[in-house]
Amino acid sequence: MSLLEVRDVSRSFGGVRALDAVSLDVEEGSVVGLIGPNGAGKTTLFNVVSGLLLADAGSVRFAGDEIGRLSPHRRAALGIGRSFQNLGLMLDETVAFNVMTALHRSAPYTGPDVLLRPWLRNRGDRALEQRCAWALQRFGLLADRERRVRDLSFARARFAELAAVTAEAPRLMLLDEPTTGLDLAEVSRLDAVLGQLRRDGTTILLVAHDVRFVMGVCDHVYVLAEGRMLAQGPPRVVQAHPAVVEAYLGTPARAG
Amino acid sequence: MVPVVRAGAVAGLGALALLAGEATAYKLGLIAIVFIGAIGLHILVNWSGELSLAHAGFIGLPAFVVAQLSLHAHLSPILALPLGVVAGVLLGLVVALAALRARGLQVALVTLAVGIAISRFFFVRSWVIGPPAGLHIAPPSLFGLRLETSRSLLPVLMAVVVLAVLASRSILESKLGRALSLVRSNPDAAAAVGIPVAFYRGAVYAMAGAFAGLAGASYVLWVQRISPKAFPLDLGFTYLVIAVLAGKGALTGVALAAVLIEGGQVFSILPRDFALYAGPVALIFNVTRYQEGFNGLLRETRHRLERKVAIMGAETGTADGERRWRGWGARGVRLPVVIAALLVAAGFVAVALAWYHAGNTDQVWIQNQEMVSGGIGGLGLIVLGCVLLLRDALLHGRAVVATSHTGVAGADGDADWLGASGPEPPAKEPAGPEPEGAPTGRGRRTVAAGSKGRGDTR
Ligand SMILES: Nc1ncnc2c1ncn2[C@@H]1O[C@H](COP(=O)(O)OP(=O)(O)OP(=O)(O)O)[C@@H](O)[C@H]1O
Ligand SMILES: [Mg+2]
Repeated sequence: MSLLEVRDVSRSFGGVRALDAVSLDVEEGSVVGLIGPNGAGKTTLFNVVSGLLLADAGSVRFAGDEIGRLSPHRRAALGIGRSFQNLGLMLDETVAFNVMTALHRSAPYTGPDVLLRPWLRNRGDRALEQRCAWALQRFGLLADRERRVRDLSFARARFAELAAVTAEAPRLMLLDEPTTGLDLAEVSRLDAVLGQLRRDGTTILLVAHDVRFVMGVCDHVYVLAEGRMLAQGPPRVVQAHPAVVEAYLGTPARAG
Repeated sequence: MVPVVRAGAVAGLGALALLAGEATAYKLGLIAIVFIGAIGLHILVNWSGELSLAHAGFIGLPAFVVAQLSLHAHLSPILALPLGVVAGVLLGLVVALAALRARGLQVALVTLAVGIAISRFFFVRSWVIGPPAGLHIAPPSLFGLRLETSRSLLPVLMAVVVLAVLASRSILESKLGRALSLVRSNPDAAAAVGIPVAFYRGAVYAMAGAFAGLAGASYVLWVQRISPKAFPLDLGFTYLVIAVLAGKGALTGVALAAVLIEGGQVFSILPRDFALYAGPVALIFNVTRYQEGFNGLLRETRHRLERKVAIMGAETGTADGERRWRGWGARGVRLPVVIAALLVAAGFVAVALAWYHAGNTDQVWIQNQEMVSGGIGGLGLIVLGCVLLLRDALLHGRAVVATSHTGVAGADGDADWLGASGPEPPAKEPAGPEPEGAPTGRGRRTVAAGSKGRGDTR
């Protein structure tokens, strides 16, 4: 049984069929890539899996349970974390504050505790700060901890978001275009962090336009075009697939 | 440094307030009550991005509830304060039910409708507002002490303010405050990290109601005579102006805005309709630019100061690596600090006692004695304590600021993430994401250093 099973999911916006009977499997512990041209429906699929959008038809199963109708925060509680193509961060807040916010579910105190047992909040937040520092250090962001996201370069802001997602240590991580805007050194750092995460047992589904990166880091690759799954398989097989070459890889390797 | 300055300022203001005359004390109390009520709207507007135009009703209705209860159940208004909070929370929940179904402009309309409904329906019923002349409450008493004058009541009100400040700070500086600000700026991201967005949007109306209810109950306690005239519909706009002027951030901005708007009115420094005219202007100004307000101004000033200090520190070469101004709170408790704090507290107690006695006697010679022993003596204690605190802060608050503030984007050691330095991985995680090749002994030694550097992140 796969950790994530998407079966025949469809979703339309008015007349646009963004997803058309799409199926996808993500094995526990694997890194799976999702590629496709602009407007293919990749982000829509992420939204359907994380619960921000409901599918018109089809099913989404996580760890064997149907989650297609659950609200997004319940899916997060089950262990699905995600990053956003256009940064899910508060730009006017500091990096540390953003990561602490993402650790919402890990806070070892309840809402009423804040007023009734404030010492639990003090202790709990200190533990979270520790975790936050750990996640930031992974991405070399410790020195930028107190800077506002707005004042960072885009690549660093992207890393801050990835730090926020990884800090929570979700079971399944959905990364929407984590490589966009990164230079070569930064991509290789991301590569290394993903390797670490995988060794820790995190399952990752990622979207990227950087084909070389996807082919290097993924165990399995899906190709989406105009809402339909065009091809899938190990990177080598997909790379050679004629339909894929035509629809997507025909463009230069670092199309963005 | 900043916490010490702030604590000093608050202590100084408190001491001054305790020395004020009866009329001044009464006016100061009115400002304090507006401050309490504005905290609720501050959380609602500045932290959560919601809107309420019904704040006058949120304050007024609980005020009448408390007034009726203390009239008919002979409950001291001091003991009825929690009931005001409860009434406010219930009111907030009702509004939340309506507001949750709306977004943006619709929320404004819904809350405006609630505000109008409260003033048109409840504020005309005699079972709510009592006789046309308004409700009169007996002066409150506490443990057998009758607190007849504003001066003798002021310590009670101050305690309420302190409670409100502590409670709201607890909320805002916890996962609740963080969740609220993410819900405000990016609801999708909030949902994706597991924050129940709708729940928080609803809860924030209840919180706003709680502070409004507390303000209403405090009003009964303070004024002891209430009529619907005290809660006109446009009072809600005045509160909104205060919240917008405060801007997102700490309560300091709220206090400043409350003093400016309400203080300007009760001390007749500002024209009566100032808030009415200044309101829309302030709103437009803040909505078109980013909502900075007083808090934004303070943040900016503080950043500038810190940067200057960091540069000065770098020039004299006092410290290297992670630099940070740290207040005394960051490094555990030391004896001089404890003594200083006790002195300040003793000073306040002395002044308060002197006041209570002086306020409740008409013998001039007793009043004079109290003036000398309690008033001047107490003030002396407070000043001495503050000086000690300040000295301590200057001696021990080394100029150490995060490298980012030096203006140079610090070289961000590319090797550090491999685990050479920095904090330990969280113990909670089962297979601990231990960085490769990090010798555990070394990792442990750096934990202390890592956690020490993180004194007051926010
Ligand atoms: N909320 C929405 N409302 C209307 N149309 C939408 C919405 N979200 C996506 N679409 C449409 O659905 C299609 C798929 O969009 P989607 O964002 O999923 O593509 P994508 O593969 O992520 O593209 P990109 O590489 O540009 O990020 C597009 O035609 C887009 O215009
Ligand atoms: Mg996309």
